[in-house]
Amino acid sequence: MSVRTRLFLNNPAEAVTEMLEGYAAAHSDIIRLSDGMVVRATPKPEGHVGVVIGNGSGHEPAMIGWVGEGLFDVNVPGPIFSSPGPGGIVDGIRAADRGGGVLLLVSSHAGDIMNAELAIDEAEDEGIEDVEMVILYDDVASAPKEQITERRGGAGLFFVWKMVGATAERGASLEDCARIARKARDRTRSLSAAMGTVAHPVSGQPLGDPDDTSVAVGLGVHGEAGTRLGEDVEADHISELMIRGLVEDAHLPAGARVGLLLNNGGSLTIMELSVLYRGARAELERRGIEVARSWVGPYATTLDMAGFAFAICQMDSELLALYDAPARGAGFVMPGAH
Amino acid sequence: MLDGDLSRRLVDAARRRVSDHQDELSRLDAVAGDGDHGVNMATALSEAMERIEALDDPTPAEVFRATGRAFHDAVGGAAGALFGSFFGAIGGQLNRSDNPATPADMVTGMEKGLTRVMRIGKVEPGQKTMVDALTPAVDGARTASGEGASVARILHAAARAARQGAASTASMEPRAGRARYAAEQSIGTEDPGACTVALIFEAWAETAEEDSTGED
Repeated sequence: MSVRTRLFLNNPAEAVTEMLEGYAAAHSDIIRLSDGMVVRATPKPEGHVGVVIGNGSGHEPAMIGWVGEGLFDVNVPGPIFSSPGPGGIVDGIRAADRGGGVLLLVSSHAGDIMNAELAIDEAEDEGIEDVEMVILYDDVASAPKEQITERRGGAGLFFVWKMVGATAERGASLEDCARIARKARDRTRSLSAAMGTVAHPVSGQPLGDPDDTSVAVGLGVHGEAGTRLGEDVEADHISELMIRGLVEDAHLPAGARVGLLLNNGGSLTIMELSVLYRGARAELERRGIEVARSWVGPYATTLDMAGFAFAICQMDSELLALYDAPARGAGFVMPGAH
Repeated sequence: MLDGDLSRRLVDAARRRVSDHQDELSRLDAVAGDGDHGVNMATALSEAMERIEALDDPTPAEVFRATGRAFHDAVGGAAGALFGSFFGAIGGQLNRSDNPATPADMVTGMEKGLTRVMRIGKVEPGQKTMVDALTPAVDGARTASGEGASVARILHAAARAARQGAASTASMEPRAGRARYAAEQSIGTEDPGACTVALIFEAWAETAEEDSTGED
């Protein structure tokens, strides 16, 4: 296995800008570009809560594909793997403001939190009030359960975005949107795995050791290193190990109902994803846990990483209804009927 | 003394030095981070110089504030937030000082910058971050300033201490930022943010010395 160091790009330093131009043009019925931000083509009604997120690029369709009806109002994309600065986030807050308050969601990573905090201060200085920030985390590999707030954001936040987006679309209050964000977060867990690594498109640096092709579990979404399992390990074994980790961390009892996400981290085939999903589903069934909803595909990628993540979200009737509500983004669609 | 022209040349010297070492910094970052630290720092300093060159006869405060804003706007991430806040704090202090600023004003600005970095980053010394180079640099500058040293001597003291501080991060286990998730891999490698701090102070010391030949 080798790390792909050349991508189909022009000047790599312009890759993010050119990606945004192309993506927005291809999905002009759903989104448009405004001062480097991705915004909804059809804004939500006046008085509704605006939902905004800033994040590093290189994870597409997260989050540019998650702007639209029932999802985010504004996404502020930063450089590859780096949060946008405070100025960009303040612009995003302003663009998302429909008079009902703004919810700034933050996937827990040091830079994302720092820039969001700087932005909240700046917004307040400019007289923009009624902004609430919720920090989201779900990656069980990043810190022990006793330090759960130290955990980083991972693929499981898929469930949080979907449920908060639906809450805001219904015209709920800022307080209620923030409550759903925390509730969905606290019921969600994720773990990732990969073999090999990727190279940063601008610096050309492979992240971690490019010669190590063993399977690692517990990587971060920027290729941060995980625990090595060795090279000769079967998919069923990995699925079982990861599902066990998630279920035990969440203390899920038999009879629980979950949403199951299998996120393609970049370059996995549908063949691999289907085999991994099969193993995960079997492990959950063995434990008497009902898979109420499933989603398999590329949600948050790490460029062309040969990796994936499993996430589970423990559902109740409130969360299930929010999950099932219609949504339409360029990278995620929920038709709204089950 | 620190006037607008020397301030501009300090930022430009930092830009050249970091740009010359950007691959090495990105390699350090790839060990436990995302491998783009050198590129980001070089991009921010280039953006800072573009903004400074667009100003008409800027004051020292304007130079450092433009630098801080360039880091916030151009690169983002943790490093953009922290380095931007460091330079912004120097600019804020110099804005309350005379022009040209005294060496003591500059040192006070650096102290405020360090305090701000530690607050925003929620970082203490010993956690394998830029603070492990910045803390000894500011201490060294404060001591030299207390002895009545020139800008050049103050920056030399800061540069020496910053380099030692950066070297000391190699044996540290990361306790903050993204690298803490890859603690084992990171041991034996210097922190890229601390190395950038050392490079900037070294470039500043050399520039201030060229400027002050003959005076002290």
